[in-house]
Amino acid sequence: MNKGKIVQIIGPVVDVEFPDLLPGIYNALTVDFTVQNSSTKLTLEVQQHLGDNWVRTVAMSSTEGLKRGLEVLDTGAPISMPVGEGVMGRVLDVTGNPVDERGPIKADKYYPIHRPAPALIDQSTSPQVLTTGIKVIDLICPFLKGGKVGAFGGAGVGKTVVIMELINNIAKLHGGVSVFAGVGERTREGNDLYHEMSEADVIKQKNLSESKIALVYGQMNEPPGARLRVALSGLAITEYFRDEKNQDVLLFVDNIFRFSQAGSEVSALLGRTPSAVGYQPTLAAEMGDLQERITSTKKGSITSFQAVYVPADDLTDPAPATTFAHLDATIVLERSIAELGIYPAVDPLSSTSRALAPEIVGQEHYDVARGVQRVLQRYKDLQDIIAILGMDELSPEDKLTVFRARKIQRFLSQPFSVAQVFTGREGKQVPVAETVRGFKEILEGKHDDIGEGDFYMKGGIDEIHQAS
Amino acid sequence: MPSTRDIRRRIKSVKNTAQITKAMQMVSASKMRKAQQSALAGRPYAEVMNDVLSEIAAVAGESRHALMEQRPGKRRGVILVTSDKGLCGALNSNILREASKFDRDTTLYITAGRKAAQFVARTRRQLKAEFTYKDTPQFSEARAISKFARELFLSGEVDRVDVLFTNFISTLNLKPVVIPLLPVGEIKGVSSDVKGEAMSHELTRSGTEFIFEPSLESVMEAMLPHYLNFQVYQVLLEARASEQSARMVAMKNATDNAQQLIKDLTLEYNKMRQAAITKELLEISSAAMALG
Repeated sequence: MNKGKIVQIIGPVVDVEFPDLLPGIYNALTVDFTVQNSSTKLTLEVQQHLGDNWVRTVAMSSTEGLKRGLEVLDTGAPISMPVGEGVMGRVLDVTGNPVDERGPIKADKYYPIHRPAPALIDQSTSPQVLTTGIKVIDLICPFLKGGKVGAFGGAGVGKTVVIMELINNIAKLHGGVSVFAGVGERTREGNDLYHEMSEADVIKQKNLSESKIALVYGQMNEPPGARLRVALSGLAITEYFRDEKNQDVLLFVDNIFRFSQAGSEVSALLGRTPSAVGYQPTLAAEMGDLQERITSTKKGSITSFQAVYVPADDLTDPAPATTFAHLDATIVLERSIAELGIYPAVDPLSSTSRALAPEIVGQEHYDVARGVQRVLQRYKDLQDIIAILGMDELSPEDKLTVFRARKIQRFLSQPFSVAQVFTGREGKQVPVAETVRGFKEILEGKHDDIGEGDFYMKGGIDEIHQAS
Repeated sequence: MPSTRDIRRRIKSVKNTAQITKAMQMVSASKMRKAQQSALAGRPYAEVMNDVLSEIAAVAGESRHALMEQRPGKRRGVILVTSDKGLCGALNSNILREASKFDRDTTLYITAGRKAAQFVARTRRQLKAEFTYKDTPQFSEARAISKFARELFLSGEVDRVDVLFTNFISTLNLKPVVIPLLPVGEIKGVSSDVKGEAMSHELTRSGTEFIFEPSLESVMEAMLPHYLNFQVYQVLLEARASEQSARMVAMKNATDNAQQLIKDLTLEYNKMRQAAITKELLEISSAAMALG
């Protein structure tokens, strides 16, 4: 076994000297040491070769209690995740260790977390739409089976709620396997999800291997190394089901921004020159390596849902901006809409989807979606005039547009099942045809005589006649 | 998130709007004074006219003039008085809301002002005639409208004629009102008192005896049309005074709103500009440090 010694520790970055043979880049190294009278095993990942037989590594868990001179073992391979039925229903950390106190994981197979993306020739996409039961998403930014979806939003506009609702609406009904990667978000949310999945019988506590979801967590409390790699760990499990079981897999990542953020945290410590806004110079490459692996092949598909935090509500920030390019559908959550009390706070004007084309969703759906966007855009354009001159100066057509736009805005809200405990409103799911019909009727003016308040937090269009 | 350039563009466009509304406010403020004066100046005459007419009507008794004939029919004509141009706040929408309350099948509209004509055309109601009136209404314009209404009534096409216009009470208080014009016997006081209250009061009778020269009929023949002409004239004056007041107030509000918007946008712009500067400074200095 190739052995080395720790020579320098700078927070999560550890330098190790290997006198005989240098370990390869991205190889996992392990250190056994004791901290506060308990023995601990730390995994390091090789990032750079420094010269003088030194390698620079990033720690995958806390480095407290670590000392210079400790012996380091080279495992000879990258960090490997257990894959297969054995991980279903389990909660893993970034290195594949169980953290749910349900005993060791039985796995025949291990996948390295660094793998090449599928070759171009193997990739395929289907033009099949995946319905979510959420009106604004199904109408404006429909999802493709095997596609990639990102939910963008600043702090506290409801990204996690949207992702949870998607898990609720899709993963629970989905026959196949789902994987949830918790990247740098609240540990409490991860815990909630675990219990919720147990209650919904997606995680079968009695027979874990029959569960339909695997959870991989590297949350806020973890050092940057773990947050940097946990998305890859989750992805490795997903890839196994795609490549070897030929299944259609769902991958949920909350939150992909933390991946970039962790990268920027270690980047400076690794001695790289910071780039725009202090991000790592390798931002786009790191994101590309990850995103290119989340793809559908001829054998199986990965449909991924990623929450993307937008720092300071600025979508032009490099981290969300590099994520944008990789996605098929983007849901943009807007603070100004959340401030109106409209949840989900999806901005129908900046949310887009590749699937919103007449060939995929059908001509009627396409026309209605564009009609909705047109009316809302017109309303937005008129807002300055309304602010200065008042509603009375609008022409009768514009007035009608404004009234319909306000109704559409409210009708885009929807009570969520996962928010039921907060709002007290029962969650509603609406079939796509019903959604399209509802918005079409508003555009056609069939509901011009109904007050706009009646459109708020409703499911189907027929519910607007019921008092809320 | 809009860029600084977007915000700068918006500030510019709002500034332009503010400039226009400010200019319109000035113009209508000066026009308003004139229009209000003429409206107020016409009122005493209209009041005396009412008194005199009520006396005559009382004396006339049985020998009623054709213009005083009460008919049971349902068909009515409405003289709808609005402004020609917009940018006067809720003035026109208020009056047109009243106008849309009339039954569309039995109502014929005579319009004064372009907005009224557009409304009748748009809602596909029956438009009988379209009149215009100047910034300072002329008596001849009133006469034309009144004559048309008279003929409509006399020909039996309508059984009554009402006037819908905005009554000028004060600069900030404008009220859309319907007053009956024809048949004359039904008429109540049309003018408002100086305070603007008691828009329609019962006409009082003095009980004085009158001698008509050369005859009651000939006096009526001359008096009634003049009375009607003058009523319409007074209505036009009131409407114009209301319009100018409404425009002045609306434009003042618009200017204030625009100024507020400019203030908010400028604050946002400055914040963004400062944030960008800070960000760049931070980047340069941290890069220099990392390289150092």
